Amino acid sequence: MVNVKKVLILLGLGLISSTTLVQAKTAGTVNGMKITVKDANKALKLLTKGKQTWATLPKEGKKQLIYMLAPSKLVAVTAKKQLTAKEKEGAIASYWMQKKMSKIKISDSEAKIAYNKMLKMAKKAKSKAKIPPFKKAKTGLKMQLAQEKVVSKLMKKAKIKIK
Amino acid sequence: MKKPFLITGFIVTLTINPLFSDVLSNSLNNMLKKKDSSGMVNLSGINVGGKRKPKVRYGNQIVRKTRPSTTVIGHYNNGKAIIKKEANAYLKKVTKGKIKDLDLLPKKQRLLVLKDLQKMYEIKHFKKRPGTTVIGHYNDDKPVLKKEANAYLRKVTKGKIKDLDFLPKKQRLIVLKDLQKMYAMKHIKSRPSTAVVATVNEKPIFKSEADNYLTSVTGGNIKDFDRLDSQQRLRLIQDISKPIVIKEAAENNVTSEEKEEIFKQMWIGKKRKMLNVSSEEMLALYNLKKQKALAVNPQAVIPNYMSLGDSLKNEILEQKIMGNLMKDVNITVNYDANKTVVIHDLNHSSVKLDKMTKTKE
Repeated sequence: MVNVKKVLILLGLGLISSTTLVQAKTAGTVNGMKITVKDANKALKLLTKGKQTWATLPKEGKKQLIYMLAPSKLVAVTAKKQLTAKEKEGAIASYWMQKKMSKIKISDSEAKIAYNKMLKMAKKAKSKAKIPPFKKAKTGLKMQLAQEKVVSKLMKKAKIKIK
Repeated sequence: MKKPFLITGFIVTLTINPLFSDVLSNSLNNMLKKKDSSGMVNLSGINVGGKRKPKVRYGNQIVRKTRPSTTVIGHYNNGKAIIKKEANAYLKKVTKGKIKDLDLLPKKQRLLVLKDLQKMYEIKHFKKRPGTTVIGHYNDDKPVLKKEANAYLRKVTKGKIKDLDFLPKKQRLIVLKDLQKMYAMKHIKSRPSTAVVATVNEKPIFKSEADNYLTSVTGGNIKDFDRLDSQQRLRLIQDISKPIVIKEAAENNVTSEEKEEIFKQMWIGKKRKMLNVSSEEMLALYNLKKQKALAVNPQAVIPNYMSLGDSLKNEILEQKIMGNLMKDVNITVNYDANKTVVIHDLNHSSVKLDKMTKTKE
């Protein structure tokens, strides 16, 4: 159980002071940015399949590990600095969207209905564009339908006020 | 001598009467077949085979009973009496003298004639309102005058209808709504671009955003959001809201670790697009790798250069990106991990602090 009182007190403290005091065991630094022992152990768990920890690692191994983790740390910081807010927003949104879409299953029959609708619309509009056969269009259509489902769910919850 | 004459006369009268009635029936039938040019009496409603008025016998003659021409047969809308002779005159006119007496018609048809007379009277004595009559109001409370409606009506009907009062109520209302719409379009008050035109989950959408979106979707035909009606506005705002709502949901549901990884991948992707790898560089790396592999194992099977194409390119790109990043990098290693480092970090959120305290526990 999470101690709610403690969390609230800490949250309050966090709000009172914009500077938070963080105490953590540091394995190394890259341009002043710390790599915690926790980070190091996480990487070691993957690299040595849990055979080694930061504490048991020899000096040379520690150095190698910090040098190995350094680029990732640098990329993370540089990316955060160099990417614009718009780019970040867009990237997060598309990642989340794909994650959500992957959870939605669209059946072949649903895709077929959408395909037939599309055909009808094209016929009505007297479109000259070539429509690919259902087999080819199926994957794209399913993606589109999944996206529509995610968006429509969100839009139902959205509070829109016109002024 | 007189007797045979009287008998013959009597026989002739008896045989001719039904003959005459057949002639009337035929003529009425012919009239029904002909198209009505007057447009007033509905001849299709007249039934020649309908029930006739009862016959009354006067001495030796059979006469149909008809009311005197001064009989009041109905009333106009202002209460004025409709006299039978008016109906007779009307009937005579529309049947081109073939039917002269209303009472010769069955009840249903008499009622039709009466209704026609009432309609005609209404049209004839129709009181048009003056042009200055206020028939409604524009959105700024300015009155809509009847003469404006008349002018509009004349224009749209190409002069066929000149007065609003000739139209039934429903159509008058349509004319009024048209005028109000046109006025609203003409006298539109466009808000400044900084005005908030809508909110989505309490996030403001500025008029400039709506205008830009509108311009792009209409191909520049409509540029002002305020020119749209309420339904069009809602649809447009819904469209604009979609990415906002998605971003909001993503922001709240993606963890900070995921975000870090997303940014890293995006940045690397961007950098890769900016860098070039020449075939010489790729060949040099291939030869280097080949030499190393053969040095370790002279019998090693080295894959074909062409088959390694993309992986070599990726390796060089990674080297280039990381090489730039790692230039002048300052790395320190804390060999003694028990040493506690105190950091004053402005970027740490209270959420992170919470996570740390939990892990400590």
